[in-house]
Parts: sequence; structure tokens; C-alpha cells
Amino acid sequence: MAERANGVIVNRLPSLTWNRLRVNHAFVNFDELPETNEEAVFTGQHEDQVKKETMTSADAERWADGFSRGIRREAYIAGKQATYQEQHFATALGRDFTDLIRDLAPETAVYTVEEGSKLDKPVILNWDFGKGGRAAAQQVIYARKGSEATFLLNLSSERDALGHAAIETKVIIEEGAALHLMKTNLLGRGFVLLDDSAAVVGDHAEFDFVQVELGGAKTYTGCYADQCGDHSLFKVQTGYLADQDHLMDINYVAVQRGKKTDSRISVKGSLRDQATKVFRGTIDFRKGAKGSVGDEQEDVLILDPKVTNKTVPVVLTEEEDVDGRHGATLGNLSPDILFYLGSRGIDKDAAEMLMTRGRLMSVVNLIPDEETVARSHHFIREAFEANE
Amino acid sequence: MSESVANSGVHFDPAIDNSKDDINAYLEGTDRSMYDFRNEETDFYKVQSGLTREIIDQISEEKNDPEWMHEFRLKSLDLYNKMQVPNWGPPIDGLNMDDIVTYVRPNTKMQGSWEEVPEEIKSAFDKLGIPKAEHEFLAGVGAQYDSELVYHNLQDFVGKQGVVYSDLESALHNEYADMVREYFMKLVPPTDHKFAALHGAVWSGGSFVYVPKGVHVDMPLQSYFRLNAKGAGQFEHTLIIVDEGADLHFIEGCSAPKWNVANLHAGCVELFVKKGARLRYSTIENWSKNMYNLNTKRALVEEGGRMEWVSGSFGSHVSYLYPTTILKGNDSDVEYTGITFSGKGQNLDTGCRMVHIGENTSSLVTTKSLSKDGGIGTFRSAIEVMPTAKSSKSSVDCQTLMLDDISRSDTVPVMDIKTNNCDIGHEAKIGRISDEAVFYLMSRGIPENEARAMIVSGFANPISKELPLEYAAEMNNLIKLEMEGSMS
Repeated sequence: MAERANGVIVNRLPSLTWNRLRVNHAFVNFDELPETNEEAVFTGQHEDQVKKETMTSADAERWADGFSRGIRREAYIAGKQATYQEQHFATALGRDFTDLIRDLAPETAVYTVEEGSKLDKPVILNWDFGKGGRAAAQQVIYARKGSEATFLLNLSSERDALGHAAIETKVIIEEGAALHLMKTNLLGRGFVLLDDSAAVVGDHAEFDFVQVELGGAKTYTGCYADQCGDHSLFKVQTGYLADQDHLMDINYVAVQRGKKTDSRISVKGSLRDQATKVFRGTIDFRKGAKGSVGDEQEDVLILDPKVTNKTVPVVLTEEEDVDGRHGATLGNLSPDILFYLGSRGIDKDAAEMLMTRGRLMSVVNLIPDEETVARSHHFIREAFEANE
Repeated sequence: MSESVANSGVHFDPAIDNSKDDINAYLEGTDRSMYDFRNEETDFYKVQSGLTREIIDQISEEKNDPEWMHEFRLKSLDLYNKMQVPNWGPPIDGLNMDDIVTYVRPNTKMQGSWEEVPEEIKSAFDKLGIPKAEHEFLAGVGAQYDSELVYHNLQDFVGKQGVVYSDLESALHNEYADMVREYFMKLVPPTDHKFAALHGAVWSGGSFVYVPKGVHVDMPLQSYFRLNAKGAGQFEHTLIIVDEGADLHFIEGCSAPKWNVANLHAGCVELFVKKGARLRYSTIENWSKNMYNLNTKRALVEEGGRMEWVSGSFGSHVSYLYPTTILKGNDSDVEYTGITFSGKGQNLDTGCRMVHIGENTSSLVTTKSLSKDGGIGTFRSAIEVMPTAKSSKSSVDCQTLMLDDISRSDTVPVMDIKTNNCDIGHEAKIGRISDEAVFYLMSRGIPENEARAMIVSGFANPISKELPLEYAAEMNNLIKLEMEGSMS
């Protein structure tokens, strides 16, 4: 990435707000990327259940763009100054990142889940960085009509490893299909991660997105779902832990275009030490999305006084017949909870770990792979032990 | 490949294009004759339209500014010329400062009796009910017409308590001159944003209020701002200092007749709530629908102080309005209760900002928004909790009602939290009038239009009950007018 002069702007907020709050976008400075020449080791499990092809990234992008050609993408919404970037296949990190990764990853893996097929096991894609390294990867998952599949993307390294990774996953979900995309970030403390996901969701289709963010030094991640199909569902469940001077920058966008669409964004996490987290969540009801509902909730446990938490739960509406909600609860453990746990012999530190684990494991346990669950569990425990 | 995804269920109507400011198109509809009457501008003094150093010199000379104020205006003009318009709110392309007259002085001096106010101006305020309200329940009234106050009066019993309520220009030249200099544009400096800089350069009119320590003003004070002149701007400055342990309710009202060109309001309100004091600041904003309302309001609350905002936004073509409260003192608190009604041709971007600095501070925000007839409403907020604000609490409740499918309603809240020792809650809901509720009322013999109006009134009730009875009635009347407009 170092060949680009300055960096990229990612995770733009669709509806801008006061600039001084510094939530309208994030800037990834290439000069701050850790130096490394090692490549990550990629392994795939259960890939034989699906058809895997490799294309040049430019061809793959053109091919994927074909699926979103029927969607009118407005760069500007009436009465608004700044909204979405112009992008054929809209993504959460945005156009600059897509341009970047096209250059970095010359080939794209395209996974096709055939019509009507239901996969028995999750397709697991592992990037192991060991003592450190880098990776840039682009993949497209194409879930054809009536199919159902789970893809699990694991990023891991040793605890103190340095490196950087840029990954983009585009998902096309046809009518009646269900795609469960799950991601875990168990990277070392010196990692910068840019991890983008985007989907086009058809009629009666379901996009289930699970994200477990535990590692890294700086993480820029997001997921954008274009719910153009009637009765489509976009469901996000995220658990994160940010500690030390970790920066976590998240951008989720649900654009609800079809009738009776449903979006549910649930984000739970804990912040410790001097960690900084920015969460942008946008539910965007477009005209015609009659009977649609959207709900986003964030629950943040703030465990230390030097933490910075920024939460931006946005709802945009140009349709009358919708029901949109957002809520956020931010704070530390209440004295009542600490007293209750204290009376049962659990001190404050143990109580914090207990409550954090409770939040995170409710997300981690959604992952249908015992090894990944066990490693996540271990990662959380180590994070707390390292701080003691 | 996938036909089903590419072609599935995406139906778009042409985008509503409100970005162009064809104001004439917006001026049909609701009967607002109670507010929309105009007076001829005979014998009025005006500066040229536009914004130049010469115009600033002229305004400063007209107003007999002290030298420091003249310099302040010029520095503000420099800042204005250097600053950019916001890149995040409603478009303001239709506002051309070259067309705006920044100073219009009516053909009268400020009077202390309505009888001495020129008949046509008095008649305007009579229609708005100001003298009647003063007689019945106000402790004092200031009435501004275009750029200058034409009437100012404080009831004797309030004056005897030591309460000062005057026009700001007088305060610049009397025993409160040092106090004005100490506080003027310190809370909203001209560096804050482009329209604060504009205000610093061309401000005129407005009120100065000082409530001494321990004094409770039992009846509200009111300032009413009427902008009559076509293509003019109003830039009044309100400076209120409520000293330790004192208590005040201040009401601000504003309206203007409709014109087929843009008018501009870029007022500034600075409120200082001292230790243990309480200030309630109520506003019913009802500018005409050719108005760009780029107003700035800010309060600084010291230890144990309490700030209460009650805000109703009904008028204007475009609004940027976010009353800000800085909870500097420990144990200080703020309550913001607001309603915004965006109708045809309106793009109202309203909300609030709370900055928690002191320990054990609390903020409570309750807002309601309604959008109809193609109106665009945006609720924008920021809750900022600084590292020093231990044990702070904040609760935001934002509800939006969409009244048709050609309007737009957005909520853009931000919570910026820099301490662990706090409790922050946020809830927002966007929806429509429930068919079941309308059906229920109709089944009891209430026509559909009335049923919908009743539901909207009920939705707005938490706001109107915070206003004095007369103002609640005015607000309900405005809602009724807007609802009639949407159903006619």
C-alpha cells in the first residue's frame, strides 16, 4: 500500500454531520502501516462444497457490478448536501478502498453456491499471519436462487505480530437464498486491518452477517447491504473488544429499497484502556420500501476513563410506511451489578471480564465452528489476563 | 446470471428536487394570513444589499458603536470572508449575500409606550397579540421590527427587583457596558462558524437581560422579532445573564411575511446561567417560508444551574438550529424539549448539542418531528461527555412522524463519550400514523382529517404542555394550520 502517496478515506457517513466531531469518515494513513514483507498463509476448508473460480479483479468487479445494475444509486438525495459516493457495487469502506484493493489484489476468488443447494458445513477461509505479514484479498460469494451457505473468514496471527491486511468481500444473494457471512479478527496488536463487506440482497433473500472483532491495532471495517429485494432480510450481529490504544472504526449501512424489508443491526462491545471506537450505523429507507422495518441497537461497556466512544446511529427515511428505530446504551458497570457480584466473591476485574465475555460470547457462539469459538474464547481471556 | 437480483423490486419515482430555490413554488398552501401580512416600507433607512467593509462601517456609525465593537465587526467580516459554508446540512445555494440587505431601520426610535409606536408597526404587533400578552402575563416586552427595537418595556415591580431588560445597544453605552463587553460573543465567538462571523459583523437589535443574584422573576419576559422588509436580514443578539440563585423564563417569538425572494435570519443567543440559577428559554419560531434561518443559540451553565429549552420550529424555508448547552459546573443540568414541523418547501435541520464538562451533570432531550407535503426534517444532535464529567447522565428520546410518502425525515445523532463513569441512553423511532388509531377514532364518528389532526396534536402534546397556556394555544393553532394545509 505504501506506493500510494497519502492514504484513503474510508467509512464515510452517508448523511454528514458536524465535521468537528470527526465521525464523517476515517482516514487511513499509509505511512502508519507497519513495514512487513511476509505474506499471510491462506488455507480453505470445505471449499469443495462450492464452485470456486479465479478471475482478474477487474473482470470480477465488472461481473459483480452486473448484479447491481438495476439499482439506481443516488450520489445525492434531494435536500441533502452530501450523501453516498457514486459506486456501481456500493460498499461500506467506499470507492477509494475498492480502487485500492483492485490494484493490490490482482485476482479475485469467486465462490458460487449452486441453485437450491444447502451446504452442510461452513466454508472456512483462513488467513494466518503467524509472526507478522500482509495480505490483500478480494472475493465474491454468489448464492444462487434458493441456496443456503455459511462462509467463515478467520484472520489470525501471533499475539504481538505486526502487519496489515486489506480484504473485500462482495456478496450476491439471489431470490430465496440465505447467506451467513461470519468474520473473526484475532490479529496481533500491531495489525492494521481494512475489511470491507457488501451485499446485494434479492427477493425473500437473507444476509446474515456476524462479526467478531477482538484483535489488531487499527481496524477499519464495515458492511453495506443493498436490500433491493422485497421481503429481504439483513441481520448484523457484532461483538468487539478494543483495548490498549486500539482504534476500531465501524460502518454499517442498510439501504432498504424493496417492500417489507427487514434490517436488524446489533452491536455489542467493551472498551478498555485508551481504546477508541467509532460506530456508524445507517438504516436508509428508500421510497417504495413500504412495510419495511429497521432496528439498530448498540450496547457499549466502557471500562476505563481514558476510552473514547463515538456512536452515530442514523435513520434516513423517504417512505411513510416504515418503522425505524435506533437505540444506544453506553456506560460502565452499574454499582448494583458490581455490588451483587462482589457479594458473591467476584471482584471488579473479574466482574468486568465476566460481563464482557457475556456480551461477546453471545455473538461468538453463533459461529458454527468449534475451533474458532474456542480460539475466540481464549483470545478474550488472554486480553484480560495481559492487562492484569 | 442473476436476473432476480438485478431486477428485483426496485421502484423509484423521480427524486424530489428541493435543492433549487424556486421560492415562489413553495408559497402556496397553508393559510398563514395571521402571520403573513406585510407593511409598506416608507421612510425606512436601508444600507445597500451585500456585505462590504463600507456597509459594516455604515452600520457601525448608524449604531454609534464604541470603537471596540467597530473593530469586532470588521474582524468578524474578515472571518466571514475566509470561512466556508457548511458541507453537511441543507443546501443554501438560494441564499446570495449580495442580495441581502443587512440593516433596515424603521422610521421610529425605540419607544416605551405602544401609543408612541407608529400606527402601522403597532398594528403589526397588535395582530400578533404582543401588547395583549404583555398586559395579561408578561413582566416585560421587547419588540424588534427589522433591524431595530421599536418598543421596550419592563414592568415597574420587576425593575424594582433590580432586573435589567433593555435593548443591547443601550447596554453598550450605560453602566452595563463593561458587562456586555465581557460577555458579548464569548460563548459564540465569530470563529465558531461562517454565520456566527456574519452575525458578529452585522448584528443589530436584540436584548440584554441581567437578573441579579437570588431574584426570581415570576412572570416571563418576551422578545418578539418581526422581519418585514423584503430581501432583508435580521441579526438580533440576545444576551442573558441569570446570576447566582436567580430564576427567569424568557420567551422568544419571531415571524415574517412571505416574499418571493430569500430573507435571512442569523441571530445569536448567548445565555449565562450562574451557580444555582435556572433559565427557561422558550421559542416559537414561525418565520415565513422564504426565510433562511441560520440561528445560533448557546448556554453556559455553572454549578447547580439548570437550563431549560422549549423550542417549536414551524416556519422558514431552510433552518439550521441546534441550541447548545455547555454544562460546565458540577451538578448542572439541562432539559431540551422541541418540536419541528416540516411542510411543503421546507428543509428544517434542527436538534441540539449537549456538552458535559462538570461532574454529575445531566441532560434530557425529548424531541418530536413531523414531515408532510414534501417537507424535509432532520433531527441532528450531539451528546459530548468530556473526561471530567464523571457520573454524568444523558437521555435522548427522538420521535418522528411521517405524514405522507413524499416527505423525508432523518435522524443523525452522535454520542461522543470520553469517560467510563457515565450513563448514556438514546432512543429514536420513525413511523407513521397508525391506521388502527385512525380507524378507532373514525369508528366513533370523527372524520378522518380530524382524527389525524387529533393524533398529531397528541403527538405534540409533551411539547405544548411545557409552554405557557397562550403559547401552547399558538403552537396548537400552528399545527392545526399545517394539518389543514396538508389535507386541503
